[in-house]
Amino acid sequence: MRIAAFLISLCMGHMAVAQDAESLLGPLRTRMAGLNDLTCNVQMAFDIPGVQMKQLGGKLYFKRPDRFKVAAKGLVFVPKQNPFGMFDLLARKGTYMAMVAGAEAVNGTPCNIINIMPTNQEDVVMVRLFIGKADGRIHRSDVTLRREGTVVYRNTYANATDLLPSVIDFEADFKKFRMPKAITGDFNSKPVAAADGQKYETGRIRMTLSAMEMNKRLDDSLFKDSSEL
Amino acid sequence: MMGTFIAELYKVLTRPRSYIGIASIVALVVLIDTSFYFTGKQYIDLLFQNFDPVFRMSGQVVNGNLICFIILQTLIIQLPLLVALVTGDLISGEAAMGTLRYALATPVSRSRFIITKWATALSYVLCILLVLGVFAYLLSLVVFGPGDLLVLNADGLVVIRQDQLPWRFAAAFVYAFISLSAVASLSLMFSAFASNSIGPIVLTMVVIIVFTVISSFETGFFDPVMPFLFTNHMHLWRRLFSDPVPMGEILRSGAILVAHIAAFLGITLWHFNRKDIIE
Repeated sequence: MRIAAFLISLCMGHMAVAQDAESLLGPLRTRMAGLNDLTCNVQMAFDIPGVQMKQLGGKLYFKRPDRFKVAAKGLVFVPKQNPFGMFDLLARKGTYMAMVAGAEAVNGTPCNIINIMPTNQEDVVMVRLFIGKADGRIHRSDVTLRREGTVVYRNTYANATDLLPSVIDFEADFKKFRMPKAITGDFNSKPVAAADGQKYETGRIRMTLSAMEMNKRLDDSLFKDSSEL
Repeated sequence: MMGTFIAELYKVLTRPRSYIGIASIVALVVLIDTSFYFTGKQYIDLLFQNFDPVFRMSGQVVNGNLICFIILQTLIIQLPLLVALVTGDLISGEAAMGTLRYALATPVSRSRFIITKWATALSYVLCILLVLGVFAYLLSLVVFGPGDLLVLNADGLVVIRQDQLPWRFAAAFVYAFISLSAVASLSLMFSAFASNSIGPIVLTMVVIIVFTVISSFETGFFDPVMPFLFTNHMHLWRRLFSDPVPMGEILRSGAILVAHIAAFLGITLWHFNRKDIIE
């Protein structure tokens, strides 16, 4: 009898937590539903170990469900994971489990943490969303991928009412770059030790967005073209 | 002096072996361009295997500037061999054919004779580089179009923006001219000591190959001797594609190469002025 009561209370507790998560995600989902596509200017700055790349401007395009492209007048590194990918995930209610997992401040903004575990996603194992307690917007998202590890997006908003962030900081770990001198032809540099080649380093990309235009009915063909402007 | 120089240049240009180097460059450039036209993506995938899980490169990575850089990188090791093929024969070839004594029977000093031969060797180097410049740079730009340059180093990648590239390539060609002039001077020096064509050519090739192999070793064992290998300074043209450009290091290596040229030429003059041309 006691065991049954314990199990029932556990289930009810779990339902209550899920309910809490849903009450936080619901308004966010409603706000995001208004965004079908996005075109904006983007200024990209890079802090990737082993990569010397000056910042460069370009155009960023996003279209639901998961189309994402940065077109620049030159070479740029872009996150492989779509920074707006969680919009699509959140929109598909019933395809994930959500749980409140505490609270934490992101850049001084108090946030609720919600763990989202997709039930039918192949690549994404878990998304940890940091949702502002006051504004209900995503301030940080940690996306854990099946093979690639965890990538982190930190969002900074220019105005209190903005739906989308004006600055997105992307952060991810990758193996230290190492190539034999015989391949690179770079005979004058010190070789990277084999052990160092197994170490992981953290790379960062800052995307500063401006001149945002939403719902311009972007054509799919835009995402098939070359990424050069 | 100018008449002798033109006569020497004419001799070089009328010899079939002078065109082996030029033909090789044209053929290699066309082959590299063709291979990258069809398989450039695989090469890029190899470069990005470390970054691949989390980052991807956006933009036209395979472009004319990258192809020109790869051609320069590939050929800069082979070009000394092609240069030595011609310049290593300039004096010893005449000795082997028996024309050296006739050439020196004319009222021309031995020093002037050597300086003319040396100027001819440098002209051939210039000719080779002009061919390389036209084919590697211009042809690649026409075929693949312009774009930012992605430079692959042992410890990372450098992306040089397109507007920064013309002066860097021009400086790289000037640096290549100095490097190859050192090789031409070395082979001319060997040529002054020899009385057959093959010896100086092979000896120059051996020096270049051995020094280059030592330079490419990744163990620290040879680090103390690295600064004394002139081939190690020849590779410093790559530093022009760094950000920022280490001008001090490049100028120092350029000066060391010029010192090598002067030393090789000095030894050649010293020896040739005392050489028994009847032997």
